Amino acid sequence: MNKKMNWNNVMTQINKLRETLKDQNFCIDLAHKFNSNIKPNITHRYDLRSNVISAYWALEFMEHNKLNSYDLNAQMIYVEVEYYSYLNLIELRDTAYTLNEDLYVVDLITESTDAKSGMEIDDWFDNNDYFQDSMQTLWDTEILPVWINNNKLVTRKTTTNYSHYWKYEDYIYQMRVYDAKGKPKLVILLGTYIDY
Amino acid sequence: MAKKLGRGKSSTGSLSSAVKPSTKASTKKATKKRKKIAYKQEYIKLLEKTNKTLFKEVKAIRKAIEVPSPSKVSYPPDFEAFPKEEPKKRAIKVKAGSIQEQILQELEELTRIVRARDIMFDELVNSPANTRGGDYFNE
Repeated sequence: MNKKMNWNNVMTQINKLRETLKDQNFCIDLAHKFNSNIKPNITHRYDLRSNVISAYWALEFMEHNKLNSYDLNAQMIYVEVEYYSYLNLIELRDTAYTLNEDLYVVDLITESTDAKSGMEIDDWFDNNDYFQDSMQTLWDTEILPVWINNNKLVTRKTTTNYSHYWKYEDYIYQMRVYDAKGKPKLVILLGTYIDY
Repeated sequence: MAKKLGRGKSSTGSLSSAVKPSTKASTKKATKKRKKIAYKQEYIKLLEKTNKTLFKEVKAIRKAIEVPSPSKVSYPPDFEAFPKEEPKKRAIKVKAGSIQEQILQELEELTRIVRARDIMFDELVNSPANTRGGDYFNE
């Protein structure tokens, strides 16, 4: 720092600090919010660092908010954790396409995406054969028998081949994040029914 | 000329009778004078008495209307009837440079802390999300 700076420069410096602190506080608050939703839901993935994933996406959301002139308030970012189906992911992709919004997927189940930065949902659907195959296999071998036993299937049974239902049942545990305007921006695939 | 002597005779022939009236007159005059003096002395005495009475009355009146003199106040030796206005206390002048220096130091410290937080956060963001790498699902 320049030792001979005048008071105007001091004020400029303070204002810069204020801005930086505001950014930092937003990132920390949001990262904490993400982490508190991710960490308890990936305990079966001891190799993953939920704090890194949370910090990365907190930073991304800060950039997104700044770009769109949204207030840097972590409370404005809505997070939900729920079971959804693969079909629902397709519908979500279509919604994002209609809204012309970028939507990212982070696959922590099969790591068909980068475990931190994920992948844009359109690109993911173009390149997620491995994920689909894995889900179908998982459904067939582990989830379906349990669900049949527990009578948990809710899909209308138009066929006896339950293997086809892998797309329609809500067994993929996901964290979804919506921006300050309520638009879905991020889907983190945390695990499947069998993991919990 | 005889007439003149004759007149002389007659005046000398009745010498004793001629002295008597003048003595009486002088005595009478003296008495009268004494009386007059005595009267004046009495009058003086009366005046003096009256004067004394008046003096007493004047004194009493003066005393009655006299304003009591204020009790004597003892002042401290450094007492001033019209003290000088105390000089206004001015803030102790500190060299502007020293305050600026302190603020700059604080700013530097805050900047350092904020920067350290930034670095820590960036390090976290840039860390790998997976501690082992590889593929969980196929493992």
